[in-house]
Amino acid sequence: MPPGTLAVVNATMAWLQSSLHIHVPFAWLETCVEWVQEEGGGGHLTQQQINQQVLDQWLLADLRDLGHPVLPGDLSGAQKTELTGTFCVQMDSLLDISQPAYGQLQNLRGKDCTNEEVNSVTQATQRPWEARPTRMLLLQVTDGVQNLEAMEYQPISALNTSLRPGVKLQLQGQMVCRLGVLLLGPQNVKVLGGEVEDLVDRNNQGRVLCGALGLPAEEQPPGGAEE
Amino acid sequence: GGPQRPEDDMIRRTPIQRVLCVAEKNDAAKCIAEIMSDGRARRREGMSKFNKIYEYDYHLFGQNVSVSMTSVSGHLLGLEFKAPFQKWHSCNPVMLFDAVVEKYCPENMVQLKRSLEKEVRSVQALVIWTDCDREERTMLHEMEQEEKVEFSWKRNRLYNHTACLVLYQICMEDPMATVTSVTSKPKSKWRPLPLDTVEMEKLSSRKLKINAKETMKIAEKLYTQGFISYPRTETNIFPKDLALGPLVEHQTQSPSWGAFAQRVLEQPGGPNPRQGKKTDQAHPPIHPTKYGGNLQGNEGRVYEFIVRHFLACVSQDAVGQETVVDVDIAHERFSASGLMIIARNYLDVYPYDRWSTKVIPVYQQGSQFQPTAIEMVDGQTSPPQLLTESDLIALMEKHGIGTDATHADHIETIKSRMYVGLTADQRFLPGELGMGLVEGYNSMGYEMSKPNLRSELEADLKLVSEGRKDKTSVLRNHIHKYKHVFQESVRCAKKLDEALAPYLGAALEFTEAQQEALEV
Ligand SMILES: [Mg+2]
Repeated sequence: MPPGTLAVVNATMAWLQSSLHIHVPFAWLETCVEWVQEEGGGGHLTQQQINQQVLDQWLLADLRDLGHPVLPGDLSGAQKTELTGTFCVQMDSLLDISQPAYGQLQNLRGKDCTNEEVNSVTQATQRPWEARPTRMLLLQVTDGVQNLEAMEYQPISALNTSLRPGVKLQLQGQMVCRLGVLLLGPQNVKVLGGEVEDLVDRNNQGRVLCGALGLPAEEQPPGGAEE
Repeated sequence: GGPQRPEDDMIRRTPIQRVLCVAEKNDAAKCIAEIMSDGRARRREGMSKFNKIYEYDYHLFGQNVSVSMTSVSGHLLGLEFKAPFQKWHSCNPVMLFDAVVEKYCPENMVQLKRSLEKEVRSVQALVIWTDCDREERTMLHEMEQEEKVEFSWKRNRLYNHTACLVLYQICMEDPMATVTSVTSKPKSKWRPLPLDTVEMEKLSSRKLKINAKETMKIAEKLYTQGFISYPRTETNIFPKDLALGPLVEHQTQSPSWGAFAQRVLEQPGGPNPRQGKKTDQAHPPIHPTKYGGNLQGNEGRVYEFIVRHFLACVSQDAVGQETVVDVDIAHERFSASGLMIIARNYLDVYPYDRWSTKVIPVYQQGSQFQPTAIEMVDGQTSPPQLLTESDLIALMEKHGIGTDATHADHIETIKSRMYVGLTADQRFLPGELGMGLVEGYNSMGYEMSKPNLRSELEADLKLVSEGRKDKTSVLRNHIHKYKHVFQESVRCAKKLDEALAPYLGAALEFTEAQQEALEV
C-alpha cells in the first residue's frame, strides 16, 4: 500500500458510514480506492472526489462480491421480529403482487388484456366505487449474505417496477419482519441508485413475470436491457 | 315489466269478449298464464310446436273475457337481400353494401306467423307482454339475502401466499375492527299509491295468489257488507273532502295493525296519502269503511290487504341509506356495501313489499366491533378460463354490444358458423376457423376482430333511438365504414389465406379473373 493510502481508505470508510450508513469490507475498499486513484492519474484526486467515485463503484457492485453482512442474523427464521437502524441493501428484483402476473406480462408486451378482467363474476361483484387494488411490490433484497423478501406494506412512491435490478436501497427506521418478509412503508425506504450489470438482464420485468408464471424466459423484449 | 295496455278509448268502442296475449317466449307465456289463471289455464297446440297456447278466463277492462295467451320466439321477421343478391357468389359481395333489403318471415317462423294470424282473427284486443328492463340478472342476486355482513379486503387479493399470510397474521393478532368511514346516499322506498281496481287485482294475484275474478267477487261482497268502499274505481287520488282520520281510527282496534293505525294518527299532519294521477271522477280509491275483525278465509285476506294497503299509503315512505362502510383492522382496510334501513315506516304494516337489497345494519363512524371471522381464502392463480356464455355476455355488455334480446342471437351465430365449439363444461372453445380469422384479421393490421366497429355502431343506434342522432346519416356513415373495412380486407385477403392455412390447409389458387372481380 503506498504511503497515505491507508489514511485515504479510512477517511472514505468513515464518510460512507457517517453519511450513508454504508458498510464495506476494508479489503474491498482498499482495492477500490487504489483503482480509483490509478484511474484518476495518481494523487490528483481530492478526498471528496475519491468518496464519490467509491460510492459510484459500490452502487454498481454486486453486494454478494463484497460478502459483508449488515442485517441482523437469521431474519428469515423468525416468526416476528423488529429491527431498528439503517441498512443499505441491494434489490435483486421486484414484482407487483397486487395484480396477476399474466396481465402485467401482456401489458409489458403492449397487448390490451382488459377483456380478461371481465367475466360474469367480476361483472356482478365489481362495483363502480371499487378502485383498482393498491399496488404491492414484493422485493427480493440482499445485504450480500442474507437474502430476504421485503413488501410494500404501505405505498412507497420512491419504488416502481422500472427500478434497475441491483439498485441499492437504504432501509431505515423501525421495521417489522414477519415470516422472513420485511414490511416497508414510505418512511423506511430511500433509493440510493445503481444497478448490477448481470442482474439487469437476468431479472428484467419480463423475465421476473415469466418466472412467476412458470413460463420459459422470453426472447429479449424490445426496449429491453441490451439496448 | 308488465302488459302494455291498449288505449282506453279503443276499449270502450268495441265490446271485448276475447283477448289475445303475446309474450316474448313460450316460457313467459306459460308462467304468466299460470299466474293470471291461478293455475287453471288450459293448454292447447298452435301451429308452431314451440309456442303453445294457454287459455283462461279473466276479468279485464271491467268485464269477463276469455284470454288466449301465446308467444313468439325472438324476431318473427328477418331482413334479407332482394333475390338477385341472396346466394353466395350470386354477386360481388361488395355490392351488398349498397343493395336494398326487405322484410321476410324466415322458414322456421312461418308456422308461428300463421298461428298468430289465425288467433288474432277472433279477438277484439291484443295485449303484448314484454319486459322493459335489463334487470333479470340483478334480481337473482337480490333474492340471496343474507343476515351476515361480509366485508371484503380492499386489497382484494395478493398473488403471493407469504405476503398474504403476513397481513393475515397481523389482522389476527389484533382483530378489532374500527369503522373508518360510512358514506351513504339517501334512498327511499315509496309507500304504495291509493288502490284502484286494476292494482288491487294485480296485487291480489301476485301477493295473495287470489286471481282477479275471485278478488273482485270477494271485494263486491265486502262492499255490500259495508266493510270497504266501492271496489270498481280507476281513481288513485283521495278526494280532499274525504276525511281520512276517522277511517284510520276504525282500524286502531285491530290487534295486528291497530298500533300502526295509531302511529298514523299521531304522525305530524296525520294521515298523508301518497297521491296518484288517475281519477274517474266517480269513485274514490278502494279503502276500508269499517273495522272487520271476524272475517275469515280469502275474505279476511282480501280485507286485510285492503286495510294494510290503505294504512301504508297514508303513512310514510321507508327511509334508508345506500351505504359503503369501510373498516380498518390493524391498518388493513375492508369494505362492505348495502342498504341501511333508517326507518321502515310503511313497511311495518305492509308485508307485501320488502326492500329487496342487501341490508346491512347501521354503522357509526369510529365505532368498533369484533368480527366473527377473518378468513384468508386460498386460490390458485391459473390462466384465464375459456369463456362461459355469461362471461361472453358480460363482455358484450362491457363493450356495449347487443341487448338482453340480441345477446343470444350473437352467440348462436358464432356457434353456427363454427367459429367456436362448446366444451363439456359449456365453455367456448375457439375453433380452427375462428382462430384463423382472428389471426388473419390481426395480421392485416387493423382491428376487425375487435369489438370497436360494432360497439360504435351500437352506440350510434342508441343515440338514434334517443333522438340525438339522425338515422340516415348514421346509416350512411356506418355502411361507409364497413364497406371500407371490407374492401381493405379483400385487398389483403392473401393474409387471411395464410392465417387460415395452418388450420384448414392451403387455399385453392384464385384465377386472375376471380382475383380482379373481388378487387373493386
Ligand atoms: Mg327482454
